[in-house]
Amino acid sequence: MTNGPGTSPPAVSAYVAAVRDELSDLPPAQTADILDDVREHITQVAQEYGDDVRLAELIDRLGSPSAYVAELRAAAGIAPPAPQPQRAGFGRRLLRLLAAVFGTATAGFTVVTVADVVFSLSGAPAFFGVPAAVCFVVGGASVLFLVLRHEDPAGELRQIPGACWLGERVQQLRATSWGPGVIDFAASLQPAWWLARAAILGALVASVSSAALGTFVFVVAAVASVYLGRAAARGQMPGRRAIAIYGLNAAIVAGGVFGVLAIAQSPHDGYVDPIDQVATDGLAYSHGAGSIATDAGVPVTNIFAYAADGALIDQVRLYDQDGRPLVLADTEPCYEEAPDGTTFVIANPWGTNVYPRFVAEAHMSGSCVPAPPEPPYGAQLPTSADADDADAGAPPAGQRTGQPTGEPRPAPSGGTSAPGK
Amino acid sequence: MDTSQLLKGVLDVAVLAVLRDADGYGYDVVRRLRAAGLDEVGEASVYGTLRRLYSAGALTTYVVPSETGPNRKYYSVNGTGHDVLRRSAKTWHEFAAIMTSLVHGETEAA
Repeated sequence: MTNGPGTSPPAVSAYVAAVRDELSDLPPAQTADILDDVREHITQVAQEYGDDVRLAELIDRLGSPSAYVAELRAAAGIAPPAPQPQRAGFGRRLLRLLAAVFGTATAGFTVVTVADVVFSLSGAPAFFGVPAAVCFVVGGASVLFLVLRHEDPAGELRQIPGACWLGERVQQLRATSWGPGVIDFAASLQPAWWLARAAILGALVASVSSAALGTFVFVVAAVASVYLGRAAARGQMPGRRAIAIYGLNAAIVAGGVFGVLAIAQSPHDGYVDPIDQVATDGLAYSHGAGSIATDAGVPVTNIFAYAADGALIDQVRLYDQDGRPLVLADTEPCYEEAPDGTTFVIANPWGTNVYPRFVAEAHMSGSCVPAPPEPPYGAQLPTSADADDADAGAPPAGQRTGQPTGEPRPAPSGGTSAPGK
Repeated sequence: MDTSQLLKGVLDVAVLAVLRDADGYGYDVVRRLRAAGLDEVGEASVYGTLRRLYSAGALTTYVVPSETGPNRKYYSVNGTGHDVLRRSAKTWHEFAAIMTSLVHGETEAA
């Protein structure tokens, strides 16, 4: 319908194009009809400003294209566009996709993790548990971003791909003979969840601080949780706050999962850490180079030096061939509540390379008490024959140079592996 | 008081009234309303109102080629439109009379 579109100043074309975008929800024929009017109108207005009319001048005069269209639609009795059905921005659509993908991934990984734990398949629950937790956090964050500051959270959630499918499944479940009973039963478990989330929070606090504080947090959280839960169940929760609670729930679940994984992980760490520790301490021996471990790979935690006569040498300072202090990996420090009788090696106060190291033992009372180190030979000293042989060549304690390898060694040196303690 | 708020209710009547004497295209109607003193009339509102009156069957249109730009769609009031205008005018007069006496009485009281 246009006459000489080439004569339209660029600003007019731009404005009309923007108006067309705002009308995109209408049938094409109606859009075209309205655009004819708009083009006529804008051209008229532009003529008042001359050929080099700027878009800013048009907007100044007529308002923004969206405001113009809103005014026109209101006056013409055309319903305003449906609240962003397909007009969602790229970011929002991306968030929806993220929510769908990571939500599905969370469900999948969770099922695999549960199966893995129940049937002890991999032996490392974190293998699938960590991805599940990560997916849960990412998916949950996407949903939160979608829902927060959105006037219709439920409608927005339905826009997530797959949400309709899920809703239909729930409807199907409801339609079955046993479905409503199952749903009712699940809903009746809600108070248990109120306590459970408080317990998770308390357990998390207890794991990072003390059991007492954890208990205190649990009690306070339980009261608050039940109060909030009852308020939400009665529907007394405004939309925003209800969403905040969903977010909190998600955070607590994620925290609980991470906590459990961290605990499940810790015995494994117990073996790895001491060796790594040597490297991070910046001391002479790193794992591999020092390789102070038995053939089985168990780290050596203490050294008992015997003189050639078989006497245990107390407080011996050890160095390697380059004069670097020979420092063994630190073991786990003695912790309270350790099983009764568990022993822990403590660095010698004379220095990290002074041996034998001290020992602490956990007692039933829950405290750590120093214990006498148990030398591997104990009272069984090397034979006197060995002692006689070695007398001549016994090096003085503290000598730094390496020993000639050809020299016959008395029993204690060869005994490192022989007497299995 | 904001005239644009008042205009929303009576723009139909105003548009029909300025088209009663002579046919006009959209921007023409805007100009006539402005010339009549309705400075605050929204241009998009006028175009929207024309569209609605046309849909309601109160206006007919015909296209006239323009030398300076796009074709111009002229609107003219048909029989239905004249009826609508007559009834609207009656309603307006009654309403205006009530408002006038109300506002007049209030100012006297004050």
